[in-house]
Amino acid sequence: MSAPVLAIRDLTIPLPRLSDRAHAVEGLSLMVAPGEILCVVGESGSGKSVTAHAVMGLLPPVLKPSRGEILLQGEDVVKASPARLRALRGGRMAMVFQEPMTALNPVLQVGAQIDEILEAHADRLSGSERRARVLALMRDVHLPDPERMAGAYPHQLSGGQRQRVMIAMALANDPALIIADEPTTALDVTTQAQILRLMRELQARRDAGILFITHDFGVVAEIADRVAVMKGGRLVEEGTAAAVLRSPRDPYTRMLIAAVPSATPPPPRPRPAATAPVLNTRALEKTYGGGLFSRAGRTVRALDGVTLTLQPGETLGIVGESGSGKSTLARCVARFVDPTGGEIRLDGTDIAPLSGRALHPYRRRVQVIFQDPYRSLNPRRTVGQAITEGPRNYGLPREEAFERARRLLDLVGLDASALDRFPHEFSGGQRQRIAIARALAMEPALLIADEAVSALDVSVQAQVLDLFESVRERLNLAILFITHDLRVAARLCDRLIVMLNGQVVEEGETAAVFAAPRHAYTRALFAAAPGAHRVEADPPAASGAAGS
Amino acid sequence: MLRFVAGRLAATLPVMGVVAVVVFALLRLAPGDPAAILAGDAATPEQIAAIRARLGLDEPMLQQFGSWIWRLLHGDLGTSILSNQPVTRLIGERIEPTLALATTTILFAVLVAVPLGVVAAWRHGTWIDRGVMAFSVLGFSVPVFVLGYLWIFGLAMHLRLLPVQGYVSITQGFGPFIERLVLPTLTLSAIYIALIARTTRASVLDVLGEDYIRTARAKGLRESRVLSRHALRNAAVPVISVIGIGIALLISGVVVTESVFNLPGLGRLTVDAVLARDYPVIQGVILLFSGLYVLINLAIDLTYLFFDPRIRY
Repeated sequence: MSAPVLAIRDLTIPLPRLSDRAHAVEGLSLMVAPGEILCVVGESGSGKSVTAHAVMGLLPPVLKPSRGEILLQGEDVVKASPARLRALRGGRMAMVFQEPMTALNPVLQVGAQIDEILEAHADRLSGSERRARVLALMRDVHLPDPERMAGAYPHQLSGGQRQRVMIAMALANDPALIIADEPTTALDVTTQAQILRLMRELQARRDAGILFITHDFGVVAEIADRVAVMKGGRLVEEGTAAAVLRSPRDPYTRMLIAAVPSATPPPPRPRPAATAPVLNTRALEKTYGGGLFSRAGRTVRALDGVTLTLQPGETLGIVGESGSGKSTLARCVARFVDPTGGEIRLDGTDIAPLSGRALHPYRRRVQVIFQDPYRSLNPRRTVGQAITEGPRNYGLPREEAFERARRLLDLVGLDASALDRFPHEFSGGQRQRIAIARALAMEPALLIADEAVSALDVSVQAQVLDLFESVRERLNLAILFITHDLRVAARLCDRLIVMLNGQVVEEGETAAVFAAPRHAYTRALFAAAPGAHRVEADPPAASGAAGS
Repeated sequence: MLRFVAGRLAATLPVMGVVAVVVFALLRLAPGDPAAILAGDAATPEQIAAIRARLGLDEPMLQQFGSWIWRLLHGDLGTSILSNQPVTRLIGERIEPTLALATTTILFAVLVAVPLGVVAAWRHGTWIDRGVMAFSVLGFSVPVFVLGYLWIFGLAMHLRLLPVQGYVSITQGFGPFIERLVLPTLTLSAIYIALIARTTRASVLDVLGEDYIRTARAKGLRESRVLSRHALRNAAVPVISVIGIGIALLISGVVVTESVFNLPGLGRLTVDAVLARDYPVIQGVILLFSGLYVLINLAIDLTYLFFDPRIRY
């Protein structure tokens, strides 16, 4: 093996006092060879992002390595002067971040943002040489019409295009090391697949080493040469991708792999015989724009004739990518927005034309759980206040509301002492449990979960999915489960609806859709799901190991 | 965008109309009679009545308003009761010192305050930051007339570096013109430096936490470039808003400063007119100011376009 691009030896980074543990990273040693992709896998708080930022010298001032070295082609980054570090950053090493929307400067043209990294490092290039290089880089990452796109601003590009711009930027000075920190987590599955393919292709061509940070074993199966698993700031397991995925040694690795929802749905469970549906929509439509003052022809059909039925005790999965209309569907059914056409029958009553006071009695029947529990709970109100506010608003006396809140906290697996605490005192998974308890406190007939587990770590995700299942069983609830993740949908949903451009393109029993998808788009979604290729190539080993 | 500008300019007309009605009504409701002031202390009621008749103040209120508006629409702001000169000419004579002082003040304030705010945000929590903040509290709390006399005492009388007061038109040479504007500018800009520095600091501090700042650093850019190109431009919109408000407030702020430094500007004209109940002058000046407010606001909205490509009108 040739000399490593990156060698981390015994790296220890202490956390500030009063943190929940002493070290962000402790005694970590890792190596990345030229042309190799090392995936660092771990959950939130594992220290994987701190490690990535330490290599780039981008740690916040409170975090300083206390021991160990980070050798980039033999040169210690920890000891480098600020000026030297600036020369290395963007020159010999570059980074691709998770969220391309926020990682790009919104007020600068993307071409100028790529140009800037050339200007900072390759100062012998003239303006026109740099311009040519920017366009070549944009072509390398397969951005269409580079001449025109270089003048565009980030908000005018799609998520995938923005991430391509980030990658072009990282490649600008032919770095020896590229650090990718969850580069596809914020993207749709089909886009994710394209970006992963692009990174593979570029890396093969340029022989750069890649340190790829991810939480997703599906992505690992797709791209890694070697895998390092981190937990609580320590390395728990390291090995070739095949070895770690097939026969993980550490129990934590095994747990992580097992927690990835399997893309093979469980056998259909026995369901109660069809009764009167809780919800049915007919030809539901939502059109944005087209008002009196908007420009002619600028209308968007977010929902285009959606018809669906949902029985009590049934979970209906709505699967689609960003812009498919799945969230608009949720907002229409919950009546946060007014549909522009069609019917929404809740227990037989059409609530689509209702508004204001007339809608009031129906509001409690539909409750929503949102994606981000960090933002959906008011940070200034206690958990007790959050859970009891709704029922009290509907006239339940304070004592009874709190009694109900205690019962529900028990149901979602939290202690009653949580009532007097504030949301920030809880972890992400616990907060989502609180959000579920809050929704259940209204005694709804229909629960809408809008990407409710997408922001959670896989192990926590599995627990929250279990909770949804047990709540459905116990309360005979109907659940509308909106997700972009087929694996999650497979795990929980009885039936699936696949949406594209505001329309339902496929509908059926989960097992049937997975076994024989009829629509080309559904098949594309399956093909793009991370880990899917590995499964096809190596079915016996990967079925358990890759968890896909 | 042209449609936006045209729409906004058209919207100016009703605004000015409301201002005209309110100003006219308020002045007539306020106690005090210009005829009595003009006639002097020893005048008899007959003399006062004669003056009232000459000025047309004895006509019914609606008729007075009607003829004022009629002349206004023909570009005639009326004639000063006090000096018997056309209001437009009075304003024309007095506008130069006010515009000069407002311009130097806002330029100086922005040039000082924006770098101060950026550095304070960049060195957040250090003594530099605390120093800038302390200075801005001071700038907010020292009244203009106190600061003005302190400057006069220190720089003009004690050190004899600058003239005490007065005004020389720019047509008589840039040196003497700017020399007499230094002290008023230093005085008047203190509060705007405080305001703009605080806003810049808060806004830049916000932006420095953004992901694209980390991206800029990951590219290996110098801190100066990270701050100027990436942070400041994104932080600009709130800062511009405050500068706009500052310009609007400045128009009222010049009154005291013009008195302290004896500048023959619009502020002084307004004060004199109010004391003499010189209705046409007050009405003219207020209409002018409200027109300026509307135009400043429009200019501010248009500058957003330059700083943030996501904004479209």
